[in-house]
Amino acid sequence: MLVIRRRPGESLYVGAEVRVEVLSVEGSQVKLGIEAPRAVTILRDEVRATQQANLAAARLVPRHRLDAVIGQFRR
Amino acid sequence: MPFFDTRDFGRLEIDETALVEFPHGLPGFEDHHRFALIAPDECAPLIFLQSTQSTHPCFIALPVDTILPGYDLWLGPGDAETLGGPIDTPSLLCLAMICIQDQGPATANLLGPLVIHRHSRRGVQAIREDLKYSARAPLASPEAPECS
Repeated sequence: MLVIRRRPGESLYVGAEVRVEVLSVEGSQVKLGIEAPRAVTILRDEVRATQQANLAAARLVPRHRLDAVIGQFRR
Repeated sequence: MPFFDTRDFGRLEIDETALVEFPHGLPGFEDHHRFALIAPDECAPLIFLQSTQSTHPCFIALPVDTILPGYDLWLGPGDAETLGGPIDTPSLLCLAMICIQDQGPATANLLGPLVIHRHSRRGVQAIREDLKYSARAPLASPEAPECS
């Protein structure tokens, strides 16, 4: 992982078009400002994890696997 | 009562009280705002969340307390307003989507449970910022009561 130290008011670029600025640091929280083309999707880590979990959860489940889970909770 | 085509149960007549609105959709499915809660006796305690707009997506969920008693519910800024009703434990139904794959243990999304207000019938996926729980927590069997 690339590690860069920045202070509030300083920024960095990801690629040619995405600019990330450190707006403020308060306690354990860092406030970031991001400038990016509209086509670039920006997600918080936990939202992306949930999005991936939702997509996986929406897949059709084989009946025998479903029955196994039902049995697991009926014991 | 309206009829809906479902992924797993064919065409079903569903009571209005079983319909839930997710005003913001769900991550990955932002265009789906209305779901029907289907809880067939033969599948208990599983609950199916079927989109009323199409047969896909349909999610399978379990009450969070069934998976992890004492689960520490977290609501983000704006979630209470989205739910549109008083936030007290008896008014909220908290479900974890589960993911059942061809192989390996089933998992539950405890990072972002579905929180549904029983009275307003509005819901939100309350995604925790503190990463206290996993989006792919292995689904363990509830502990059997001990014999004395």
